[in-house]
Amino acid sequence: MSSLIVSNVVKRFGSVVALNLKGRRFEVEKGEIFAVIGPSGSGKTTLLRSIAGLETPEEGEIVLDGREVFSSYKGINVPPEKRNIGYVPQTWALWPHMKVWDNIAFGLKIRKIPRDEIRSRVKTVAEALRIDHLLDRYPWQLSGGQQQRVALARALVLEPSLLLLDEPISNLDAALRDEARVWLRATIKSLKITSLYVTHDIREAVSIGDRIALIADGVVRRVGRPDELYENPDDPVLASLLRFNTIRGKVRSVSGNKVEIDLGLGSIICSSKEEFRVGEEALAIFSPRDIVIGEGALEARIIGSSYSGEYYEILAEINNNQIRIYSANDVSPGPKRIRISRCVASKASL
Amino acid sequence: MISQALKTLSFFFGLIAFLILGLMIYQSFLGGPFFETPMLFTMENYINTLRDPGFYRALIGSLVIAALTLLAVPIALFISIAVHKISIPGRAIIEPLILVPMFIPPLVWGFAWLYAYGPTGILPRLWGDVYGLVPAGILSALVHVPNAYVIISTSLLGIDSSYEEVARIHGARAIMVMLRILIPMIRPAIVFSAIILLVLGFEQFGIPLLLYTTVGGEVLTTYIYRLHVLSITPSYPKEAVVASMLIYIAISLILFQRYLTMKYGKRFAVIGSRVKGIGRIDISRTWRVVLLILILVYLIFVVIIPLGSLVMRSLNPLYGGRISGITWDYYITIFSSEYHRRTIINTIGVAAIAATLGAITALGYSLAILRSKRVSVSRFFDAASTLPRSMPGIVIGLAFLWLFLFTPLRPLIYTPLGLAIAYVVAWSIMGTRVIASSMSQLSPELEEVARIHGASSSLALRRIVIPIIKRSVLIAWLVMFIYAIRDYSIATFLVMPQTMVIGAFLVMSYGAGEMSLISALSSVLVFMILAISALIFKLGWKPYG
Ligand SMILES: Nc1ncnc2c1ncn2[C@@H]1O[C@H](COP(=O)(O)OP(=O)(O)OP(=O)(O)O)[C@@H](O)[C@H]1O
Ligand SMILES: [Mg+2]
Repeated sequence: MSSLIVSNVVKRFGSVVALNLKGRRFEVEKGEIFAVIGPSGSGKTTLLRSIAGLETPEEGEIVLDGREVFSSYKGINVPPEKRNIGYVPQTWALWPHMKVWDNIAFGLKIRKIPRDEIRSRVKTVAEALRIDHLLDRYPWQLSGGQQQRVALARALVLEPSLLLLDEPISNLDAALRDEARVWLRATIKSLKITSLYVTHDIREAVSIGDRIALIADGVVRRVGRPDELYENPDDPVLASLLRFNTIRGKVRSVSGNKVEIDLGLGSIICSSKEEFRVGEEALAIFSPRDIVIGEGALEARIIGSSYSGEYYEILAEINNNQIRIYSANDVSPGPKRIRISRCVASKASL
Repeated sequence: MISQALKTLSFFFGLIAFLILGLMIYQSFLGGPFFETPMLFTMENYINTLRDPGFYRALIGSLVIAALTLLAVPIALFISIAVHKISIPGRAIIEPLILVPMFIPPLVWGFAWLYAYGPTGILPRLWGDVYGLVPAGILSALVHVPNAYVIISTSLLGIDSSYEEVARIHGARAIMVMLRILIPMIRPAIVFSAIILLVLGFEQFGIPLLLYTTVGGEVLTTYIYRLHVLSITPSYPKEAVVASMLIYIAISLILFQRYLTMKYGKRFAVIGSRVKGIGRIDISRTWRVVLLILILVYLIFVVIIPLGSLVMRSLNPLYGGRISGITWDYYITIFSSEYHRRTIINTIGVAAIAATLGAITALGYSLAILRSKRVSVSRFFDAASTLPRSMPGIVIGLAFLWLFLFTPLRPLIYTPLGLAIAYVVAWSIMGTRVIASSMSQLSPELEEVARIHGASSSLALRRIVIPIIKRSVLIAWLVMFIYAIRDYSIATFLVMPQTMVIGAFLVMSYGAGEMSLISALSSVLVFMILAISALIFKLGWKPYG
């Protein structure tokens, strides 16, 4: 059963259309972690706030655990406090005037749950998140990582139908963030809580999400498992988030699901899911890892290289288009032949 | 050159700030007048004062006024939440009206209040007797609502919406969010505003003078005033003791507030918080309308009717009872009388001198506080600008009177320049705040680069700093100007008939029954203040932050 269904939701701020899911719909399965990724200003937060009930969309329907919480068609708009959602904002927003214990217990107290039960539920969550020794402190006495755990505990203790996380680890130091990603996914998964996780960091999205929705300019453009997105990044926005190379060219020939794209100085064969016409403009999208230097039919000019610690990141040019190549060996600047082993084609205008 | 002159001038004013405070306290421990008594300290003055029943009566009066002034806190809290958190309609008009009383002198509010609700007012005795301790305290609260409103609003606007949103999503209704999250989070500001109001309540002079001494009451400020004005041979030690007591009370309160800021500061500083949005509490239409009506009632009865009555009074020959046509007679009288004309010109002249010296000093103070490499220097100027805030206007006036009478500064006595100097010392903090806050957004590196690339410190100041903070210097000038024209308590001691200013005239003539002249002069003053405050707002002065 789907835990969350969002369909046709449209939200405008004045003339800006922040979210436009007109004619579209996505569902999040029970216990699934659904990551939403997109560039800044793409409407991620607006989506999350609409689901929470903090924004009222102009149009659309939102169903939570089988209950309609918003429907512009039926005039339903359940206020945020009645939607049974847990929320972890980017700043964590731990209430500074309350100790950790009171922060976590807040939602339970509001729900008038008996004291004993509050005590045991706070304790259980605190132990699971390894913050039980911090319950007597104020938020300012905690480290960033601890604050983030408390913010999560405050949401999880409610056993919500849906957990909303808005870039919850972007305030952590880079080193802590790697650890937090693994920990966060393991924790949420073990509690089997349906989650919507908003981020603009692709690494976060692929390591935490069971599925990922790509959103740009208020529109959900792709939904898929992380490996599916990497396999078939046939979308310029996705390609740029994945740090793939994108080159614009002309379709020279089409055969089945293969397209030959002319890049000016040679052509490459890309797979495609869409129909292309000969002569049409198209984008060739390929990973920096799928390029071999020193063989092949394409002419490139190597500009420079830097060592990343694991591989050389090489900057090159094909017919004035810059591309990135990851290579095990350093390459000296100058003209080189290259071969692109894998490529997908995408429509030039979307 | 410029930078040297600026330093000298700032240092001069800084020194005087310490001097007047020191003089007052020094005198309170001397057996006789400081200018003819050897330096032999005694506690006798304090003991005598503490034995004086008149002093106790005044102390109790002051305590009651200060305590009642605290009523401004809940009113300000209520208005602030309604304006900023529950978007009531008409905010753009309502907010300036709420802030208006901040700039109008309390003494003028007192007159306006009398013309509105006094025995011969438009709505006579609407609130019962307007004279007495409790009415004076309540009016003191009402005129100080904007002070509390500004402090509370600043804090309210600094809270990131996510604090409220988490509570909301986790199950709290709007009212719960307000009571359990919002109000506790701004508790530091609430306590801070309460302390400021206590200080303002203790230093209140005009309102008790008008509404309380007229029925035989006394508070500490009016006690000093009357000790000085009514006794034939002034008792320097006794005046100094009462003044010093007021200073001790204010300094203790200010120190307590600084301690709390430190304590709260750490706890309420939140990691990674940058204000992204102000949360809005959505309540039903009906409630919104009820709130709007409450605020309108407040504005109409506290701001509009009194100010309207003041103006009406100045245009209406047979006031009280009936409206009998409008006449400009009082204004004609004022402007055709040499004395009153000079009073108005003096008021503007003194204010212009004070504003100019004050803006320059504020610039000097800001530079010293923010840019000085030596901690002692920035501490000195920080104290020089804040210390005078611990002295009620009446005490500052008295201290300057003594300073001018009995030291080599004698030529300054009763001169416009002398009065302007007193204003600069008293109110430099207002200009300093404006300039320092804009300067603190200016990276010191901008100057440092200019210095390294060969500019002298004066050139760097003239070419880099001043152009960037020009607007805030102008705002500081206007703020100082307003504070100078709205003063009456300092001027009371520092003018003579030739150098009379409006405020001092109002204090002198409050008992003389010259109601028509008072109302006309007050209206002129109110008009000037409103015009300049409108200009300040237009220039982008923000009461918040
Ligand atoms: N309250 C608002 N009023 C007006 N415009 C808004 C408001 N909130 C969002 N927008 C606009 O809606 C669009 C989507 O904003 P949103 O905050 O959802 O983006 P986002 O994907 O969360 O971006 P980021 O990664 O920077 O957080 C933006 O163009 C933004 O300017
Ligand atoms: Mg966002």
